[in-house]
Amino acid sequence: MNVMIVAADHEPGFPPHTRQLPKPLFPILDQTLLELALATARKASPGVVVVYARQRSEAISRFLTARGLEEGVEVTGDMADAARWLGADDFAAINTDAIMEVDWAALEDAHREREARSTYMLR
Amino acid sequence: MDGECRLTRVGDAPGAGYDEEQELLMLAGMAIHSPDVLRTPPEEWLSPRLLDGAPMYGWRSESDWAGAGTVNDYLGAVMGRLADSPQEEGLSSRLKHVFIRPPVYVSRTAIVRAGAIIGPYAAISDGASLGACVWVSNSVIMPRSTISSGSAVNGEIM
Repeated sequence: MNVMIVAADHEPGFPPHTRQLPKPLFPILDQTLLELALATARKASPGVVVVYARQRSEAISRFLTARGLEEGVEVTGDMADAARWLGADDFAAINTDAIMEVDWAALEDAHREREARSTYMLR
Repeated sequence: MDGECRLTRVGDAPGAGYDEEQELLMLAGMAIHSPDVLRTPPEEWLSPRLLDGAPMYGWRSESDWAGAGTVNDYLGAVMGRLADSPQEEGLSSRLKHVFIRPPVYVSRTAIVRAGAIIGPYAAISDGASLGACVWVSNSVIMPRSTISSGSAVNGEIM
């Protein structure tokens, strides 16, 4: 299943100086929120991972290249591009504002059994 | 959700008519979608609204999860990782004359001057620079940030 990573913008309340850094590149120890989302996405064995970043997509693209993570990943701020890369099948969307483990098989099974338009993970 | 896991109500908070017997669940920032949602504005499917009666379902996860959307959530996510991660062995040897109070994380590209106190619960990111006699606790020092000598940082993102 292809995956879209939605690169979240800054919420109000973060110190002004932290806005120099795109929010998905905030560190969680030795990784960033984006890297953690990418690791979750890769477990779905996607043909492509699309990072949708409405802001500073170039900085995110440069970061992925610098870390050697760009293979199989497309970065865009244009939803039409994202749709083209994701193709005609159902896809998963992951927000970088959450760090999560996903039981992909169980979630995909539930989604397909119900013939859902959307299946949201809840806690 | 109803008994068949179909979403029946989505909101920022329980509103008028909320049945206290109903369980409140939180959107966890992850979903599977049909590609036709891409024809609608992202705001309508990233944060679902039950506008058109489309079959939208919930799936409850018990797996590990942490939010990072707000300042407090982000700090909590980092502090949780610190608590759950093994402390780097030999950190005191790597950082000469620095007092370490675990749990802490100090990037190998960070510079920490002598006399600093790191921790408890401090994450020092890539390229950060801490002056002499700095005390950092319950905080995240962001990449390439500089903390002046003698500063005390507690509960902050710097």
